[in-house]
Amino acid sequence: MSGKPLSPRSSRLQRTLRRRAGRTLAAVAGITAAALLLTGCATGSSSSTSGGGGTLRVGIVSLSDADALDPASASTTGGYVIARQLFDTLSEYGTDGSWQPQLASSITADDSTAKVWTVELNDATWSDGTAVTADDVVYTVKRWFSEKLPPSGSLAFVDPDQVVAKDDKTVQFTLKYGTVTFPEAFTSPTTSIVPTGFDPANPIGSGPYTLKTNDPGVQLTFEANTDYFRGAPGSSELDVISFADSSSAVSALTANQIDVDASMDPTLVDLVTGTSGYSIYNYHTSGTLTWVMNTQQKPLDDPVVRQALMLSVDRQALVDQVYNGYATLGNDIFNPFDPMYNSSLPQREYSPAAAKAMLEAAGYSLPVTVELTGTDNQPTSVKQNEALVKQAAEAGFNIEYTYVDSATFYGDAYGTYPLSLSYWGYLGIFDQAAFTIANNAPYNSSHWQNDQYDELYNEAITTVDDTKRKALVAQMQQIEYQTGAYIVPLFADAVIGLSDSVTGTASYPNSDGAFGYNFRILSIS
Amino acid sequence: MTNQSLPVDDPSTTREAAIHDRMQDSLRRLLRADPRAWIGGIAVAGIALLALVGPLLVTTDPEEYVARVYSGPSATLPLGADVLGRDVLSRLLVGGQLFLFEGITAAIFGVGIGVVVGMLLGTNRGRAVSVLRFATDTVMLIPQILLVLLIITAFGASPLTLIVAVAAAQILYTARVISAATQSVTSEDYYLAAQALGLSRGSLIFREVFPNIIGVVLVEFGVRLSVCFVALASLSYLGFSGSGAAWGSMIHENQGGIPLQPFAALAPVAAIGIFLLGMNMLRDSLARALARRTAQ
Amino acid sequence: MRRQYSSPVTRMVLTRIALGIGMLLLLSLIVFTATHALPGDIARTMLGQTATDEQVSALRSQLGLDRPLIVQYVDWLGGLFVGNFGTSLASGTPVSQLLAVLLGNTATLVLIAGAITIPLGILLGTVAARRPGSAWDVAISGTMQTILALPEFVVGILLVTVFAGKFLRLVPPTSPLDPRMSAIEQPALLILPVATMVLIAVPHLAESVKTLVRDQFAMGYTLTARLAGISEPRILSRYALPNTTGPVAQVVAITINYLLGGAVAVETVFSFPGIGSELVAAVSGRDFTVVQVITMGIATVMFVVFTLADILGILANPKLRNRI
Repeated sequence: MSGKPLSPRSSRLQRTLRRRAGRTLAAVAGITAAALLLTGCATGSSSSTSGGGGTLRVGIVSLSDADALDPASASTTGGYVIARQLFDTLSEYGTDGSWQPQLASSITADDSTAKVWTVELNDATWSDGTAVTADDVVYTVKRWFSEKLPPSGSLAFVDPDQVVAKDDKTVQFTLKYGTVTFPEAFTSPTTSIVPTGFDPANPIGSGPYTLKTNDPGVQLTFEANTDYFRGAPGSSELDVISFADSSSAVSALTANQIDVDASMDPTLVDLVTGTSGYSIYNYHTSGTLTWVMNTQQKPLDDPVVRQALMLSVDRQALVDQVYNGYATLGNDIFNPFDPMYNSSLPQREYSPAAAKAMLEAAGYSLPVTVELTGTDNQPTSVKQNEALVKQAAEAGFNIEYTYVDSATFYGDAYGTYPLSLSYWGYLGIFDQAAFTIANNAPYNSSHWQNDQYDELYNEAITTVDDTKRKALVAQMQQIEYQTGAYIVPLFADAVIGLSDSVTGTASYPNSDGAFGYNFRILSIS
Repeated sequence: MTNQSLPVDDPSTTREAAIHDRMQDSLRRLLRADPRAWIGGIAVAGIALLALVGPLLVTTDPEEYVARVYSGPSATLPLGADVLGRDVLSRLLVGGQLFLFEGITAAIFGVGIGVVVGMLLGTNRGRAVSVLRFATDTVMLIPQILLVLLIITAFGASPLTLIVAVAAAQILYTARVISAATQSVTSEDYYLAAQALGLSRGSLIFREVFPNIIGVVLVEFGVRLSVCFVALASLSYLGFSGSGAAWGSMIHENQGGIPLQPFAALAPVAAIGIFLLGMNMLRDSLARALARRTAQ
Repeated sequence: MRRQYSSPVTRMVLTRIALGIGMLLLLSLIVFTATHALPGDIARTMLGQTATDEQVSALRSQLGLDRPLIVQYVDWLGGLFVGNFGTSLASGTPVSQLLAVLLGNTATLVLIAGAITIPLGILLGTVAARRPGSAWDVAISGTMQTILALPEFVVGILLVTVFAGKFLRLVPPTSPLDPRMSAIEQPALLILPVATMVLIAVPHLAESVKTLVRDQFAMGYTLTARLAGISEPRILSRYALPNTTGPVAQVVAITINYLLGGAVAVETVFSFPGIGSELVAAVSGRDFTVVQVITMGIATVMFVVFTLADILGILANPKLRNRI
């Protein structure tokens, strides 16, 4: 399919299950002695759309054969796009980055241990006209576990046998252990709710669009679901068209072959702004390409070397050089959109001299050689790695960078690379910790382990009091900042090229993809 | 019918001497008479020189971030900045050696092996050759790009892998062309006569076949050299190039920015283009001279 | 006797077909082995960084990748014989369905480009060869050699810049063909890809043809023919061209091969949904069934093309004809 770059799915495959923690915890914190109220602010701004006409053409780099119609198996850009158009999740991260109920009308914990949760559903219907019921939710959850689908790997706290329909619109979850992160765990498109007896070949969903045609790797077309429970989408048809690379997508945009370039390369924005009738829409996000330091491999098993490497990264230069300014500085801890984020830690500066001194004081002879393995999991990955080689050289590191294609990267050697670049973010602090940091996290390719951190984490996820929990998180992030295994150099902006005929834009800072792939909000004139 | 005199008396010495004279004479002639040979030679030498001494002329660190991404040319940056805000001129100067080496080496190996295989296939009719022909014909049916992709995907885009992959993709094409040319020779009277005289296979190949297909070989080398460089550049464009400042990776990294800052990607393309054009002119000029000489 | 009814050429064709089946069998084994020898596998690729071992093995067994290789091979090969191309590992859809649209697109592109390239290349090559050093020769050879010195994607991007740029927007800059229509129904989107393919394929063909024809003119017999007062067109048509038919047929076959399999860069430049870029994507995504089917398909077409080229060469050269 023409549409793909050489490592097509590579660039998108490793999207993680996205859960975000946004304001969740703030909301969770509303918990009083007996019952916590996590009712989000209902359906929010988007419900007001009245439904519009026209065909919205969205360009994406790139669709792939691996784009799944089954939302639980979605792992590619196309898979996420499909999931967002055809289905709904119980909750979502909204335009301010905080979580809100979506298909659910409320998500509440029944007691102060955050162990039992009740989900009330909105009055939504499937595209075949039947109503969305509590049984469908129970079916969906059980299906993840019985078919070993990806959500089962990241919802460790869910006991599929303890998910019960209380009535037509009410589901009760009794968790294996209490956690306040429950509501944002259901924001990921992979946790989309499907009808009982779901057949991926004929994907019936409750979402804003229905699938009209699917040519894997080439084009997806959708038709508006005018009965969508949050209001009809802004366009009556949505075409998602694959492009081989960002430059052809930009050409197509400025030649009026598409209306939205959802995969803008930040270095090409001048091409869009220089053409009348087109403009750039961008916003900050929590998405990041983070360097993973393997604590089981020399020399990064030594915390001193890890600290020195953290000082060897010129973050501002990366923002300017690699992202053309479309990124914000990172401080080696995750998600600044989470209200629990520890913003009191001093911003780490580029200090090659200090790094050298640390290494020498620890008895290393310079340069210290580190093998870096990378793939093109994001369009900026290769550039970010190349920039690091140069920056760290000034600080006494000899970084030997090897590029491999993504299938090789995620092959048997994954998890053994001394240093590698991974795409993370769009996850609340707790979810990120659950995935990659705490308690033998399933996707922790750094193998970093810290008992003190784990204790704080275990205490924090059952602490319903906002202030107390925030204090615990501050300590957790302090530990990561000082001895951690992730270099979080920056957070990339979402950069979108738009025709002036498109209206209705909004930012989704905690969701991956342009507008979090919520194309229903866009209207075309 | 044929211009080739049969080596009746002392084939080994007279023929070799004749070929030697002819080659020298042709080279001299074309250098004297054909302006295209001069132009081509200057282009090739110029780019080769640029690649060889370029690294000595660099004043700015080619890895240093010196200006905003895709800045246009200025007094300090004659060719502007690249996708990572680095000096394009510096990178152009240091990036030629490896790329030229890769392309030339790939062409030499690809055509060299291909000529040998092609002549063997064209002159032999034994069982072993049938098997070889069967095998080459089979691999020949695979799209060239798949062969290259499989090698690079399996072993990574290192310079060695690139050379092997690109060379491997040429062998069978050259073999096919050479085998066809060889077959034409083997149907000529002088070949049949030499064969009848009981010359060994080696002698037949080196005395009768090779001198008579040298024009085809030269043309083939010229074509394959272009193809190798174009293949390397295209692989770079598709994302299969090593890292570091080499012309191939410069093309890859900067191709998206061509509408914004064309020099970053097109400077190495131009350098390669001039080199290849020069090579083509030299090759064409030589081939003409050989054809003229043969005709006389 | 039977013999009288089956000409040498017929026998050769029959032998070739038998050989061809053997070749395709050998090829299927080579491609199957080579693709399975690549590092990484599709299950891990599809699950990415959130893969757990349990999920990887579940997906592998769901895709049938946990079976012994020999079983997978025989299964796949058996399917090919009954016209079942298997299922794309990545998308789960039948390969035939997945490739139908792409095949149509690439076939349209290659047929149009070939229909222009082959006559044009032979014509230009012959014209340039007839009078070495003439204005025609210099003009044609100069242009061809300049284009030969440029990579495909550069030609493509230059065409976009000139004809679909900001100032002169005559044609669309990219060709994301709508799969709901056939390629031929979207002619505007075919212009630049076809033009690019023709521009990069013609020089290869023309240069080879030129050399082959020129060598014939340089041969003693043409000189003799000239001295004997035979007219130039007659030398060309009676002696030079028939003698070059074999090699030219080979070069044309190689041109078709190039157009078919090597147009990945063109498809990428224009985001043209075709077989070439699909092949690259499938290798990179380790979608073995797709790689295998595309390869076998192209190989079958190329087998036919090369066989035709060989037959032409033999028919045109009586000496070879008699030697069969």
